[in-house]
Amino acid sequence: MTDDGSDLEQLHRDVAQYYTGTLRRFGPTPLGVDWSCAPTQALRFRKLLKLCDFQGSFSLNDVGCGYGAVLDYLADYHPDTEVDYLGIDLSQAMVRRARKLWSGKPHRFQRASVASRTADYSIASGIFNVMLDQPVQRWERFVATTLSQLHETSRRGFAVNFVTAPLAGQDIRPGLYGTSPERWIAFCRTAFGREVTLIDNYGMSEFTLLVRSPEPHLGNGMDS
Amino acid sequence: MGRIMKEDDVFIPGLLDQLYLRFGPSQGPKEAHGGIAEMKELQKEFQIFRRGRNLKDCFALLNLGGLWNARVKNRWLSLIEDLKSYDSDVPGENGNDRIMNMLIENLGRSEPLPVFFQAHDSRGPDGRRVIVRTSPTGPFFMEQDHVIVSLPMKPKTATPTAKQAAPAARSARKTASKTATKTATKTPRKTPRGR
Repeated sequence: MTDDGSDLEQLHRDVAQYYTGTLRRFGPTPLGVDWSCAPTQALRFRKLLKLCDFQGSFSLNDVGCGYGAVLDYLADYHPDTEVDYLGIDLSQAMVRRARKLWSGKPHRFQRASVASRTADYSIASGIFNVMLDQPVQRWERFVATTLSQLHETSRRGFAVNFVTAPLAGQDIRPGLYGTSPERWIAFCRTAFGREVTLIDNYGMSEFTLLVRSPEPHLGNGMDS
Repeated sequence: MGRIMKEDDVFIPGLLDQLYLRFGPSQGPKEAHGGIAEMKELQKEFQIFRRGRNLKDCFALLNLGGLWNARVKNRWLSLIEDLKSYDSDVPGENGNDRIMNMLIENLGRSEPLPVFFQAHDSRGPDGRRVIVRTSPTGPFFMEQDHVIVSLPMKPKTATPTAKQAAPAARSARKTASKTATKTATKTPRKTPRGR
């Protein structure tokens, strides 16, 4: 098999199948999207959403949205901020469940690998962690491609998280992708010319990158 | 407690292990974060453990009841909830509040101690109470200061007894507590911060 676009399509299918499986086992719960519990899931949202300015309304693309758990978080912690939300997920079953869960609300969900619109901000929580049995080289191409798509579809910035690579000589759990912050900070700075803020040391074996556009943005930036 | 877990008592060691994975030592900085370091961060951000709150609700929120077996999970959480009806090693503090208050205090420290949950036979000298103490080890092979939480349990086949401890057990407990003060340090109500 050649390492071209069709490989990434197969990768997307494999990832979709994996998360469809977790959803079937555990339903629309943190376990259903492979997090250990609601507080650890919420802690990741808290770190990612440090990107956003909650003083005014904004649009948000949530890539790898699962069942839309971040909406619960936003309702709990930022109830006064209007957020124009679009959730994107590779798993059709996940998107169906999210639509059902949030029916009657203005939030939208799409089965896709990339957002169909440009928003003020994008977040992606945990989408680079579960590599399954993909070769590392292909997975890193997926990471780079996805970061580029996030850059292209985010006016004010985007935020992602990664599992931290183990020390040399130590093994990471099979199927997980671990990396160093420096690698992807350098990538985002060089490829996108954006400011990158690293958040780590929050009790988990992972780190969060906030990638902001250097230009100031005016207006509320709401997008359709 | 055997009356609550019934035939699912076989899962109790695994459930205690699960607690240790979440409250046990962090395995190192950065890439090996987790355990008590993660719990400290969760407590800092969300104040999961609060005075007066039901420990069962906190454990349910943290998915500390197993993943696969709903009956085991529900029985385990009932067992945790039932700690309210138990005494503790602190007079006037029930089992639920003893653990809750310890967790709040411990997680508020700059370097919280890992917490090792275990069980003791409630028919023995420690009796029908939750015991919390500090120890230079968790499991004996982990040479690191820990807080030990010992939950009172007895086999499901044991004869049911009244909630009040039997006189023999009370007497044994008095003797044991005299010995215990010489060999183990109970967690003080206010432990110094900034270890």
